[in-house]
Amino acid sequence: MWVWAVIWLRWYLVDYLNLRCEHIVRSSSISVMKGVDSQIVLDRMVSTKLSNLDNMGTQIALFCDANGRVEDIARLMKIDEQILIISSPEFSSKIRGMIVSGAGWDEDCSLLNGDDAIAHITLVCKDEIDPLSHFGLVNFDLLPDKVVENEDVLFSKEKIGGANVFEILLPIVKIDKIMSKLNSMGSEKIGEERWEFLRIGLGQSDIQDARGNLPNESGLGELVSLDKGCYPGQEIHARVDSRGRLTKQIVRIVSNSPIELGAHYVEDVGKINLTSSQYDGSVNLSLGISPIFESSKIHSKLSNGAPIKIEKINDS
Amino acid sequence: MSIRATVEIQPFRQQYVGILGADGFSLPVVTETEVVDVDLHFSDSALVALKQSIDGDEKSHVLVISAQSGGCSGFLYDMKIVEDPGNEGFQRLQVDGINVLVHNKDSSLLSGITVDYKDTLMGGGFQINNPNADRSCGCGQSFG
Repeated sequence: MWVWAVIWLRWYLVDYLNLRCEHIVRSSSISVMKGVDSQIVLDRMVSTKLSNLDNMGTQIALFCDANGRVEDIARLMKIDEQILIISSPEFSSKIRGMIVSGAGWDEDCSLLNGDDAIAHITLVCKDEIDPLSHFGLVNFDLLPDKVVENEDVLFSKEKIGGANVFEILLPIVKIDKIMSKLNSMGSEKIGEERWEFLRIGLGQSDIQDARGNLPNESGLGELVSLDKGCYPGQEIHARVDSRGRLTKQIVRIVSNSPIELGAHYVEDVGKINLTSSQYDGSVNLSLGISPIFESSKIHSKLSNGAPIKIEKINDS
Repeated sequence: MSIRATVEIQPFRQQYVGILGADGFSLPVVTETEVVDVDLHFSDSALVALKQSIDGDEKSHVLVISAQSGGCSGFLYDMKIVEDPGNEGFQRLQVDGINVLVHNKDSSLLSGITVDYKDTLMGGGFQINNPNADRSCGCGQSFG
């Protein structure tokens, strides 16, 4: 029964978002680590275990501060001995500084700034559409922890909320060609506002939802490894796991009118801090950090009386 | 008793280029590191343990003390006895006949530390007390 409920929810979400294929050129920061010790150096700095990151593999990693709070979320892609780090632009100089100054004197690790060399496109497609076939990868089953390279263009795929989200990395000089291909396959180029609406609708938390919170509170608990050894924030994460009790969770809020970012008092729930919010003219979707509640969905209202629906988006 | 060993170099700001090659499509990442005169202290027990560890190899081998990113608090200490890598990038100190090297990039993090040695079954070995650290983790191997 619950399987049908999940399938229905996914169809409902994608239908509700009116999604087919849409793409956005991201303003991500791209760094490239080189050298045989790159993975070891990076593994010391993130809360995520990187020992399983194989050649042509991809995974998401969390950078946390010494208090265990999320500082950045980065997607990593390993190609031979190089690791591409796709991170938020506002944190990239700190990450780069940490890597360059934190590599040991005898470690083989160096760093390239790829911001002016590599472009990042996110492509979101309805489940049944196979965009890879338009890029010469016919009937290619791309696993979520793998990347594939074709004509200097890298693809990764992740299933989020009933849609397929592709991260595409390419040399900047090829961007016109790739955009033209995306256009010819029927994908629509979108801006930041539509992307935010889609992302929140699919339930993908981003750095603005996670920064300053503990990973579990932001639905990112799976990115914390408790058996990899020390990393910044590890003592706090271990304490939360063994002795702490989670008090917050990430939720999606659906309403018919725009809601501003920041703290809102919600009847029967308490204070919810909205970290992302986007109105498309008829529906407002938000992500926020809420006190824990048991049921998966709550109908409530804001202090101004506006009715809202609160949904858990990720069991943390 | 503490032994104070200091080398004199002129403080300066140096650029470290963390990139070896760019294949013409990327700029190298550069970070500035402050370089200071390194000042290290060793307790009597640390000196005894160090001499036992390096026994007979004092001329060909050195102790390198360094800091790496990671650990619970942001940086990890590392101590290695290695074949003498030469002076390039390092500050060299003579401590009771043993060459101790600290890389310039780690000098501001490590200057002023006291190296101690604890002979206990649990949590024993070399320990570092760092006056520059704002915090350190329970195991004593990480600081920030």
